[in-house]
Amino acid sequence: MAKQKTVLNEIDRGRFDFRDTDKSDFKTEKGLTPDIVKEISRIKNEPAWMLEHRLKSLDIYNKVPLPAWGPPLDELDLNNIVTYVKPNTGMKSNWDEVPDYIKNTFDRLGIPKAEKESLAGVGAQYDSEVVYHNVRRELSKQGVIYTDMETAVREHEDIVKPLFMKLVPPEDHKFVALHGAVWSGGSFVYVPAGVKLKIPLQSYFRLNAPGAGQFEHTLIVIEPGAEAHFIEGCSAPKYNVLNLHAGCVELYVRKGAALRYSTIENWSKNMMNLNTKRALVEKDGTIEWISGTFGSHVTMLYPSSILSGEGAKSNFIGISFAGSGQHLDTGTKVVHAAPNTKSTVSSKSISKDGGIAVYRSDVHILPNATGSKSSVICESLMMDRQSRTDTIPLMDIRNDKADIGHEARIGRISDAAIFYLMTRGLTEEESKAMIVRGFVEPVAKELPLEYAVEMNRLISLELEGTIG
Amino acid sequence: MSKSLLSINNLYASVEGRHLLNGINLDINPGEVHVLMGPNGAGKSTLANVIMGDPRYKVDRGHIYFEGEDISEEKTDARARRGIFLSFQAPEEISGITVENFLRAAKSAQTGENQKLLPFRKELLAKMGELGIPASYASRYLNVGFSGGEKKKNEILQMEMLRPKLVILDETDSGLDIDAVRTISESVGRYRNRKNGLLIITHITRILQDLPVNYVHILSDGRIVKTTDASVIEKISRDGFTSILG
Amino acid sequence: MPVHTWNRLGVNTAELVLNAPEAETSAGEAGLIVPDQVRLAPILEKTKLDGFGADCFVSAEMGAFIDAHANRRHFIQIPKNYRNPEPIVLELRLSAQNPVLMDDIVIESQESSETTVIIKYSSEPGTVTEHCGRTRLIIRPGAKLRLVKAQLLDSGTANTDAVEGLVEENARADVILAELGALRSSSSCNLLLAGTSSAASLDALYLGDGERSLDMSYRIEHRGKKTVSGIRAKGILLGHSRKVLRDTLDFISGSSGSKGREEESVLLLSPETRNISVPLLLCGEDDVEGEHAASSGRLDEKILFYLMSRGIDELEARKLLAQAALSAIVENIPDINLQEEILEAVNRSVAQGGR
Repeated sequence: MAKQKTVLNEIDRGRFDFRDTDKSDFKTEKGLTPDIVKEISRIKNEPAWMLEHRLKSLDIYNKVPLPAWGPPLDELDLNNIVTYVKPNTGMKSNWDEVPDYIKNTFDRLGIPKAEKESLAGVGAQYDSEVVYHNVRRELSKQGVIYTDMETAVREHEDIVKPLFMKLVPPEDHKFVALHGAVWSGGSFVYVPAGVKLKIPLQSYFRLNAPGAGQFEHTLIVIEPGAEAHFIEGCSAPKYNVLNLHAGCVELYVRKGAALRYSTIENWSKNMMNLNTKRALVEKDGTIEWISGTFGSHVTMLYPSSILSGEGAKSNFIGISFAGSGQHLDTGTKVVHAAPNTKSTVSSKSISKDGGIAVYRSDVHILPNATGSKSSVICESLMMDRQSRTDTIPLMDIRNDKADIGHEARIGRISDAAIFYLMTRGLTEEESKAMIVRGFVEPVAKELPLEYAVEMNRLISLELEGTIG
Repeated sequence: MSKSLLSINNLYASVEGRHLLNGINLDINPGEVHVLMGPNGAGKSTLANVIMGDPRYKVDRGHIYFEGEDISEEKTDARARRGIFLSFQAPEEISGITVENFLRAAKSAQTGENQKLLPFRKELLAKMGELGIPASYASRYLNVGFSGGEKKKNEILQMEMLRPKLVILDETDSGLDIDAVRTISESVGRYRNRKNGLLIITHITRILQDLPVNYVHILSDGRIVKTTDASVIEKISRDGFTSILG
Repeated sequence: MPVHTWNRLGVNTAELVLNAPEAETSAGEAGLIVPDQVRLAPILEKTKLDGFGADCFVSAEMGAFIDAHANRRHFIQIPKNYRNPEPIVLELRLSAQNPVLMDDIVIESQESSETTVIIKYSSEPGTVTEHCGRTRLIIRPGAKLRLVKAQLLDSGTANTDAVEGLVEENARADVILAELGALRSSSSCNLLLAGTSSAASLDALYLGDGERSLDMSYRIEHRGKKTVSGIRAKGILLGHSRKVLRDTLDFISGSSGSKGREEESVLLLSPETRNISVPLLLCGEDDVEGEHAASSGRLDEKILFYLMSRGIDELEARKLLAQAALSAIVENIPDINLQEEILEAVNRSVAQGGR
């Protein structure tokens, strides 16, 4: 199915209910105050319970300290956030200010002009009305709800209210609390029982609301026996003047259901990407995480699976590429909270030019998880000695009838392998690139073709060092 | 007068201070089949790897010429693109890259032309059939999980697809069953013509059964100590190397 | 822990209880077997003890504490080129009369020497005792030292023990640690491969049963080029025991050509145990090979059945399999009596059902 995007030069304000009323002067306010949060909620026309949630989150945000572990977060300017989430600010960046390396990447990846501007936060972008309606019509015939998060909060309260930020509560950590207070945008997907969606759903909704794309909230519910594949992100770099991304993804996989959640993220090199993703998997359900992390200055990303029903399964395949100036701290958490649950993790990382790649994981086997199995394999490829790679896995096992295995390897591309490829006529660079592509192939294999092709092109670019 | 294909002039090479090649002189003309034999540790594989420009070895003295040009300073891939091919004794396993994709990339690199998918695949499958390699291997990762014999056949498949001018076989027949040796031997025999050259390193010699051998060189301690014709092969397999090394 | 992780997991630090005795007491009976050529001094001489590196295990506080309160000090200096297969043995026993032992031991293996040192801690059954000790190793170029430390303390004891080693050029350290007793045991070993081509192996075996808790931190740092390491930990957990094991291989930038391997396996013989493993692999150098493998599981039912089909009863079969889980390391202990003591401890524990 072809993706068609059109650019609207003017935001259709009526559609999102923005109102042009006189605003009181916020210039004197420095920090994120309850008034600002109330205004955000009012503009979105939210029900009372959501406002209450936002205010409670703000309270927690103000009380909780920054995490004392992981990559340094000193470059995050939390005070500036208010500038970007205030409603009605002109938050667009200027094309001239967009860094050259971003523009070069767009060219190399063959991104059309219109999309370039959108990705650079310069223009607005929506799917054309026609495509939008077609997709929605097909889906609604099957009873599938697929809409933006704000609409879902207003129109599907019965499903959303009991679930919203219950899987990832604001108490979890500071950035989840911030997210809870200022979230904006994101997708809501509801697939009724027994419905198996054949084509992947992609995150179409990119609002031009302030803070959208930075604090989006995705909530997906897959009812018993249903199946879906959701894809978010793209390999083109996303640039924004606000350098924080604190999104949140909550996935509910009910009995016997299956969900595949694929992400390719390539945030621009000034970004702090602190994302929280969690899935709750019930009896005989399956969650598959496919994750490619490129770009960003700092990323802290640990998709987590809670296997709460017997026979639930979680599979994670991830790749991260840390280049110059990047500190990617990624990993996964799995909690086996029921018998005969199964988890696999396959994580690969590449560090180059001083990049730091950290793999951090947590596999918990609770006392009732009899007969569970978990296997974690992580491989790290170091391209030079300026870079770093650290593996910090943890296994906490409280049931003796569980089989747990963990393997990790670090090293670099073997000279013998490079020599072998060169004897067949490939240059040294081509040989290295081929070996690295081979290294990430297990992830590429799981993505729809256009994403895999983009990802491979991105890797070639990263290896050539034309970025950053 | 035809240009010599490979000409090695007084070549000395070492690794970590150990002297492995001590003055090698060798000329291979187009259409010739040379055999290199010698006791273990004589330096046969070393010579093959040094011809390919393996960066592990240091050339202390001497030169290597290919088609009249001095390639002694050239990098491995440049030498490969000139048309030199080495079938390795223990080929590397490269995970994540299929046999087909790899060969197409190599062929594109060597010819400078992008290989079109369908014609290439057709040719590949045909050659695989000739070598008795199941078609499914085209989509398997390069050498990963292949048996010794399968790896060697895969090397010969690469030779068939890349069509080099000089083929160096490093113990390609060792570790193979009789049928596999025959298949490879026939394939190499068909490949040989008046324009290309073969340098075959072997100590089992079964691979030579269908090939007309021009010269047999005996290598010992990094030096070619004797150059003679094929008649010596039988003597060696009967009485061992000491009978001719004296 | 060298690199911290999520606070909620509770593995970043381990609490140590440091108790000093009110009066200086003689620190227990000690059996000392020391060959003539080996110098044994009661007082720590000024010897170069810098450069150990990571203070993540023996904090400045603990170091100062031991400096101040140690009631048994030994400086064992093994002369150049000294080679003797007979081990140097130190047997330290705590009792009601000597309930607190704080030992500070330094072993210097001078150039090209080869020795084995065995240090064994035990205590009188039924007594409440405490042990806090630090052992430092300096292994000079070309020397080889094998250190075996076995802790067979009674279950009324609290145990804290730290081993630190500096391995110089072409030298080798082989450390075997056996944790078989004490109610609460905090043990650490930090080996620094400072010299080119230095090597170290760390074999740790442990047994947890009853209400015991074990906290172990093992680390090998690759600093020099072409250094080689291996950490192997094998353990059995029964009863309500709890164990945290953090093993770390740290490749510092510049340690090119180095290789390291960590391996951990745990046999769980009771549903009430808690097994936490954190196998860290830290790397700042590309020209290295590092790997680790950790596994945890139960007795293979098929093997149990096979043994029983050959006439061995279930309890005997369990004891055999439990011993087998640790045997790879036990076999390397150069003291047959100690080997037997360890296997006996395992047998007893399995027979009692881990209580």
